Amino acid sequence: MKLWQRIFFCAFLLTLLAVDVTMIVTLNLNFRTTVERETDRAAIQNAYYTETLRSEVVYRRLQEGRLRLQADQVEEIIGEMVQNQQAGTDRLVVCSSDGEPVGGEGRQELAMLPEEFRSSVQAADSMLSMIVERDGKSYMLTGSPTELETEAYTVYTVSDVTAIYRGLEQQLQFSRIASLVFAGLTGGVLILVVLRLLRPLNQINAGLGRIAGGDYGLRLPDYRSPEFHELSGNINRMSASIEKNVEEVQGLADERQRFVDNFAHEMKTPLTSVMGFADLMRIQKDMDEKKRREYAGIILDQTRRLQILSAKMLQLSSLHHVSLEFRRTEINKMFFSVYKTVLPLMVSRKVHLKVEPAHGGAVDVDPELFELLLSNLVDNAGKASEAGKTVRLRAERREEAWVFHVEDQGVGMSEEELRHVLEPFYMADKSRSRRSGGVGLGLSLCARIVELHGGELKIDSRPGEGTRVTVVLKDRKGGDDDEQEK
Amino acid sequence: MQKILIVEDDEGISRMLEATLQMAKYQCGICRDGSFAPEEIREGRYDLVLLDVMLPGLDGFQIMEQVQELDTPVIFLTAKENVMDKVKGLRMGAEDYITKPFEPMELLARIEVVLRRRNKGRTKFVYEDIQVDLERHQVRKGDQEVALTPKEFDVLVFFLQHQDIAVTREQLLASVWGYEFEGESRTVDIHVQQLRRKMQLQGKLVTIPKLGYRLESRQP
Repeated sequence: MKLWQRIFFCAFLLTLLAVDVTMIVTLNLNFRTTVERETDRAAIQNAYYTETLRSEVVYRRLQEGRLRLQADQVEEIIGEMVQNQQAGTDRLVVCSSDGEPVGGEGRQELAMLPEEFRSSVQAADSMLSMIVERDGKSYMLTGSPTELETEAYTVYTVSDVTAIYRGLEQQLQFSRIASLVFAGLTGGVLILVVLRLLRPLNQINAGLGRIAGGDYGLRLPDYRSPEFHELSGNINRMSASIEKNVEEVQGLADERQRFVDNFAHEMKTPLTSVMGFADLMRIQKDMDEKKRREYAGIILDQTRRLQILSAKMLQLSSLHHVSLEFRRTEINKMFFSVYKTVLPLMVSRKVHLKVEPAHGGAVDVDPELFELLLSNLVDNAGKASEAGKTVRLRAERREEAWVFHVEDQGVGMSEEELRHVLEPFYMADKSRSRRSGGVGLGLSLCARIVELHGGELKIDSRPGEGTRVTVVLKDRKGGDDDEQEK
Repeated sequence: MQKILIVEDDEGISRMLEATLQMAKYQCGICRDGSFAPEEIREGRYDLVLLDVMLPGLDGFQIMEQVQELDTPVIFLTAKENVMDKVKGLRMGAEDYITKPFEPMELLARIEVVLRRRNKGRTKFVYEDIQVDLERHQVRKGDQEVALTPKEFDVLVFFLQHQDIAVTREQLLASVWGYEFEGESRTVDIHVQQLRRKMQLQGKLVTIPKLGYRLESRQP
């Protein structure tokens, strides 16, 4: 059963129960009180009759100046009284010891009295009451034994108490109707109130449904009642968090897809020429010497390109699983090693290389990787420079960090190119890169190495004005010979 | 002579395409930058364009948009295999699509299909004293008309379209009999033999061991 239905039924039934029980108890109490009152009244009336009889007898006795009245005189008195009373609401019957009504009056009334009642009264020797129903009417019977001139008599009064019962019935009737009406009203109002209070719950439920279905941007409105306010606030926070995560994951997935697409393209392009020329050489008749050399030359070049690509890919992927060995290394030692590595390439391009020594400087790095980083950067700078230009490698000390600069006077890069330059396979000038054997992975490798050292890589460049690549290496806390696994 | 434009930025591939087309005796032009392609297509009056999708400047799709009204047939070259790109290209009106890397013969086959579909294909072929008229479906040796079966005719035309090129049995089967053919390659051998006999091509329509057949011209 739905929540609102449960709340409604509970409240409704409880209210109804409370009201009805109260009503019934009240009515009952009311009735009992009335009956008691009537019983007392009848008793008093009865006692009054008895006393009146007695005083009448005494009065007559005195009047006649006798010691005792005779039985028939007593019955005369009784008869008189009974006759007088028959006009009133109560009926009076007086019985003699033989059970017969005195004076023959009130035989009807006597007939109303049940046998057990009469014997009980006589046996009890005190006043007794009882209520009987005859012909659709209710009667209160009161009987009390008495002695008049040493003769036993029983005084019975019969009161019509139908009105009381009718009254009770009316009240019951009224209360039934009232309770129905009340139930209807209460039910109606209760349903409205419950539904209204629980409406936010439905809205929240609907909202949650939409969020679960993928609408992570949905936000629930603010509610006044504190529980719903808190609930919707939490749900909104959750939704925002999901949205952010989904975006992140999607971003990562897109990045990965781009990488794969680019790699596939970089692979398939040289393969296409290799396959093409190889097949042409196979099926064509009469290939002259010149053509043969040309085709074979291209096949060889492209194969070399594939070789470099796979080597760089291996390097890049191995950096994901590498464990660095940090050692305190003199900067000048590294510079010297880089100079030796890169010099032949520089000479062949006729580009000058200027390495400025960093006196006494030392850093905590993985020397092999860091040298590779610097060599790559210097090589890149060389590739971008025309003959006669200079590439500069230097290091400077800044607060708590060593900063390395590789500067060239080469082609430079536009803002657009700078944005993409660290992406794998991106080449600002494809033909130039390819000519010098590049595959577009150099800077990704460098970025990765810098990342592994916890450093920062920055590139400043302007088209036609050259480029400066900066690597910031903050001082490492802790001792030498760190081992770090990434 | 049919003219085909190559729009491809990679040096190796564009050279390879040029070599392939020249082998099949097409005239060709090369465009290495996408931004110059639409103009080149308009001015050059090409019979077909080989269009790379990933280009500097304008990409393949953008170029297609710009020259749509010329209705020059286009075959896309791409490294991407995904279906969406293929559908997009074909929807834009490209005649066909080929993914890198590919064998030169496959490219030539597709070019021929497209040219034939657009009635830009060659309809007359000459080899020494043999003349073939595709439209009239006639073969003459010297001045005598020769009776060939339909398949023999198709095989002859195929060789004439690929002179001095070694052709495999599979390529012949695919091109002449279609891909659904379940026969053996013996069919091809029989037809080649018949052709040699009927057209007196012994010594000219030669068997290349482990490869297939080649119709060789006298040129040095």
